[in-house]
Amino acid sequence: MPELRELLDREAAGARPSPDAYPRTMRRARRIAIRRRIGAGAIALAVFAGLAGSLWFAVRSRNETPGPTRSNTPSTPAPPASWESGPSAEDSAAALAELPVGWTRLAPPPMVRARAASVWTGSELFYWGGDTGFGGTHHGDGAMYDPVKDAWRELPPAPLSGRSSPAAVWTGSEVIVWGGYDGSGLADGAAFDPATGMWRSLPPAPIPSRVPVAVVWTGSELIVWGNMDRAAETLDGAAYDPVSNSWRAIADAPSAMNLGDAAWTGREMIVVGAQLDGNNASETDYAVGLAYDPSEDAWRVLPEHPVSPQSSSIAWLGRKLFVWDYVPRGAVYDPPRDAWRSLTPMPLDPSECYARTAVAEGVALAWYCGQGAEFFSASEAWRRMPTPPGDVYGDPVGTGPVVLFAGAAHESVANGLFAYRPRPDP
Amino acid sequence: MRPVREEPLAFEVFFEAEYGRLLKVLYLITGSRVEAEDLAQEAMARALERWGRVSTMERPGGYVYRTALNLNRKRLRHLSVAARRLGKVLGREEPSLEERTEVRMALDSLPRPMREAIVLIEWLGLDAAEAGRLLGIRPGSVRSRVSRARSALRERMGEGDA
Repeated sequence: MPELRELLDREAAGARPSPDAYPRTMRRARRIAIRRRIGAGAIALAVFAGLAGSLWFAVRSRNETPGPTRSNTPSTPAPPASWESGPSAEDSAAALAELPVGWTRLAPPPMVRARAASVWTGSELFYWGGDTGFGGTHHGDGAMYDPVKDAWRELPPAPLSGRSSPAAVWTGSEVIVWGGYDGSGLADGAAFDPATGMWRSLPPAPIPSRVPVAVVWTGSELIVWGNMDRAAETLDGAAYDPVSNSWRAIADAPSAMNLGDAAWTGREMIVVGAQLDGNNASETDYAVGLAYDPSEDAWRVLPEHPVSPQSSSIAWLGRKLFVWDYVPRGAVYDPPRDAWRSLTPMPLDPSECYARTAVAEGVALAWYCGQGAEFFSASEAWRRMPTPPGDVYGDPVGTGPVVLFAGAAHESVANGLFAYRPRPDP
Repeated sequence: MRPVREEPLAFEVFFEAEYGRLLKVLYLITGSRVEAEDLAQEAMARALERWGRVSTMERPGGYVYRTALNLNRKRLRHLSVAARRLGKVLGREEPSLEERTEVRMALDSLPRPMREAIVLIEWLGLDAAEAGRLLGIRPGSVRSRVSRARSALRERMGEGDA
């Protein structure tokens, strides 16, 4: 038999590109973008946010002076000249509860951003940072959305440099912002008090700069763990206590992840994800599940279950962990039994999309390139979400009655704020 | 995450450099020029839609090849084997049995996983580690599939020469 390569060469010679291959490819790309915006609502898959629904991390504060130096002393910028506190949690909840079931278009953010921190404070949406120009420019400003007025107001200047994908959590009284990316990883953070309109810088964390893989608020500590840098194999993490204004390093995890999602169960931080290389290939066949118990400062490994390492998302539903991946397929994990159970097929069209999740009224919304599916915990039934009314970008954020989507993908793509109110359990 | 490249790669440059080879790989794997072109354009379009991220990868080509191979696998899950052989899927035309070369028939006789592995190794010139990353399998599995594919092809085409 002649050289195999030679034979394959002769066979391959018959496949010549059509003359219009490039314009046809461009038209397909536009259709994909349109499907994401209109038919399916895309999410900026620059995911390196990679974590479905949990790309928001707390960030430590940092001095305003440029450069790598930072102060170990928390700085407290002067209170803004005029800052009005926002609506009460009760008024906000009532306003959101009046929104119709399904999609509602709300007032868009005053700044066009991708990969901004988007956090629900219990009464307003805190929206800060992000980038424009395909990640070329990183911003350090933001705004807060008042659902009672359906209006935004700009945030006071933060003692932080511009960044995208910072960790951000609501503690019950402050939004903590930490880390993120501005061309390289960042390691400082700050806390914002919506009641006073004041920022304060956080002390330095005992871990290097990063966009963390896992970020949770435990009720008393912010935990940040892992590193989304594809070149890193990070096992370490840290926990910040806002009451003592101090950090502690947490135990190293049994394995590294640079893509994943995290949830707090009330007792453990569960992280599901994988360690991927530059070609998006995983070291493991399936995503790895890890659980960290802060009271023991110890990790355990979850049993294996077929979850894609390339993209998965999780959410805690009170008694079970809801997990789904981009295949797409879903499962639930029961921590007391340490057991998995696969779910019925998801009503989503397969696509090369990153998974994102948010919870509203006990319903988990699985968000997938503008497509969505509602998962009802009690019945474990699925229902496909209706098509959004416009260009939906931004990671989904659960507020209680609705899920909010704020943001834009890339610079010139439509910027907006949408609310989705789940339908009752069928 | 740190980008690997200092300057973003222009998509047009990338397309010109990679499209032809991608098309040939997909043709060798699928046996259909039409399907290969469809897969190649879809994979490139998806890469373009995410170009801000893909362009900064060390190997943007790897992303496109993985996307194309995954698309093909998903496509095959929706097609019946009989419909593909008869060329009736989506009204596309397949070469008639008389037009199919001996190499084509030999490739078609291989299971898809072996066909993918032999094309990536023998024609595209990847090593087992690189091919394994595209296929999502270990290098050892790549080598095993390639070895079996070579034996099968040798047996099939050696029969023709007898």
